[in-house]
Amino acid sequence: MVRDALSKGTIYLLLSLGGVLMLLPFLWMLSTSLKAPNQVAVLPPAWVPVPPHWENYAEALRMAPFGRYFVNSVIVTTLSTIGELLTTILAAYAFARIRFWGREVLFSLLLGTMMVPGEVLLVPNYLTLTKLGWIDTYAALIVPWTASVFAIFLYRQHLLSVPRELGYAARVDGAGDFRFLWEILVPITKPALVTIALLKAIGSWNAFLWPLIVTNSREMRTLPVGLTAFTTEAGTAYELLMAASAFVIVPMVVLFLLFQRHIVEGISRAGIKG
Amino acid sequence: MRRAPFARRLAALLAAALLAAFGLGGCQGSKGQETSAPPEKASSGIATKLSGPVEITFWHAMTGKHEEALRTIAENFTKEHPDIRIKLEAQGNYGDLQQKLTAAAKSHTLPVMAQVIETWVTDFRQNGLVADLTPYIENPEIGWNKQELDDIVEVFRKANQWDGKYYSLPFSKSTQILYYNTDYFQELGLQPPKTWDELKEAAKKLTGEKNGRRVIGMGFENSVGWQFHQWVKQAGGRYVDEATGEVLFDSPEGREALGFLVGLFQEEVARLAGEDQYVSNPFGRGDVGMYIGSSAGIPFVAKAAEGNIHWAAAPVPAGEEKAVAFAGNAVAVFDSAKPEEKLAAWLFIKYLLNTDNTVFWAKSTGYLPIRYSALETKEWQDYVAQNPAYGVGTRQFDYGFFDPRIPGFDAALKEIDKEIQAALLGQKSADAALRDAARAAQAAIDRAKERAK
Repeated sequence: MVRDALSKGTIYLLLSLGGVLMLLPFLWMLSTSLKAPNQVAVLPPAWVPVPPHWENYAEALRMAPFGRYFVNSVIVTTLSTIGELLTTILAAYAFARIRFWGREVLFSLLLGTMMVPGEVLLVPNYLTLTKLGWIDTYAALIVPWTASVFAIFLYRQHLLSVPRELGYAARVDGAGDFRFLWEILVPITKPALVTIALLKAIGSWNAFLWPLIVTNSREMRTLPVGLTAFTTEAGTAYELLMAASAFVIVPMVVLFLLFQRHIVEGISRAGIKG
Repeated sequence: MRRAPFARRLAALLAAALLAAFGLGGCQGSKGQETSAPPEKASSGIATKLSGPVEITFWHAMTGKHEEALRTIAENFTKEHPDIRIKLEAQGNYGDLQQKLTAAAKSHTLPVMAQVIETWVTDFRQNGLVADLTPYIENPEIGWNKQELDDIVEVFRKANQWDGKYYSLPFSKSTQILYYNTDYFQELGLQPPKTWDELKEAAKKLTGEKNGRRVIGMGFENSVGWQFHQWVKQAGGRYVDEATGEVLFDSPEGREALGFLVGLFQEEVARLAGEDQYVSNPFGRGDVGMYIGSSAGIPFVAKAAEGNIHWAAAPVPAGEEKAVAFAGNAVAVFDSAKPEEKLAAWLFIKYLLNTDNTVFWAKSTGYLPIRYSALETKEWQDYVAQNPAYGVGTRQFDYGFFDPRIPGFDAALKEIDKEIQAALLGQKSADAALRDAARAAQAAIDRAKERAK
């Protein structure tokens, strides 16, 4: 018993240490966001800025139209997450449950596209959007991101792990593919869907290069683009950048705290039969 | 000018490579033309009057306070020209802007005008993308007279001329200056160094323990590879021939320049900025006695130093020759714009670069005024009296130079930077590093030339 408690204690101690280490950059961000400019680079770092410069936050928010950026980020993140969930559910169901000609080849091709680095796709995608007349519109920010091969793959593995008998039973009861999917499969695979949605939301919230490339006007920009307001070619105003960053990550931290249980569950169960 | 972070530059490089593969790097726009010269246009074919309201888009890389200042100028301009509206669109940093311009060129959606770096203009010009501004400048009705044109600082004017024609005009300019810690200098009875020997002497004296703090005499930016051009020129050597693209710094003068820098590091009286990227932070907390860096860094030095140290700035010391690099950016108008849009853009440029506005711009951003007449204004003189550091850069106009504006120079610079750093950090002998840098730089330039064919 004593030895158990001891080893447990050691484990917790190590885990706590690891946790603190992981939190350091986050704490540095919060601490720096309250420093005066001449305190930012002092060595050793002063973790508790005295006095705290709360006005950094006001000043940071004044440097760019962050209110508008915030609204745009919320719109883009919400719609592209909903869109991705829809395409993922339908595509993954088809690949997992419906037999059709060329299914395996098609799925391999889809997985193959994950090998193409995003940078290479940037210019062709830009050209496509120009042809569609979508530059500087919400469509450009949202539509290209409403499908994700990784999400389809992840969800397909989940669907494969659901016993086939469930499908037969539903069929006997008279449910078609559509009803079986929405009324039985979706509810029992909720953790996986929450994981997919969260990964998507975080990715979409943080996206920088794409929103920068496909939009031009201030009215269409998102938060990460707004963060560039603090960097010039001769240096960075770290205290303001960190203040704005702290403000930008709050929604994601809240989302994560609300759903973290599902994330772990969703990932750890992927591909496990049963 | 500073370099964009590596990841961003990599992305830009990938995009560029992709475009080259698609054929833009080649001869898009100059269809059927064998030579690299842009299609000739009759200089009389420009619009000189607006027939109605015009809106022009201006892509720039200015953020925060710089962007605000630009907005102010654009709004004032519209008050004078109610029929012209300037739509300012910030496109991130220079790397992002370049990437976006490349994508926009490929998809024929270029803005009317943009902030550009002269090295890009060479590429744009070869592809027939930028408008020749000479007919506008020389037009008796709407242009500049000789005196006005000559009022633009010569080194800036030359940096924007290709075969005697202007394809862009200087806008935000910066130079290298020497920052020094006046507390330490006074304590040791030092004067700002004027020669290489004095620099070395000062670096040695400044190095040591001060108030329990380990101080290194001389600091170099992480981008010291970009400064190398200046050191080679100061040694009396040549760097890269702009006409032929031949790399020339693997020479006795080049060896002397690199040898001098490496010597400072070997004697442990010099250091790189390190993880801080810019020396402004280590300098501001008193870890570095002096350093040579961009004048655009003055606000950052001022902020970092506040409450920690006292400091001042001086012209860059001279070697055999006086030579100081000027960098920064310019404005260009794209040839895809309609005649009236081009006219509106020219009128705006003319306004942007007038004496009052160049003073305003310099005061609000820390860039240098681009007109000689600006230096005479009371406004500027008062400003410099209050902020002496801002006046240092303009004292170096007469021996300023700019980087060769040849395709592939950015890639070459990256190779040079890598080798110079290896030499400074003692990972490679100076001679080997210089040889490898020259070879890699030449290869990068030749590759770009090959692609441009």
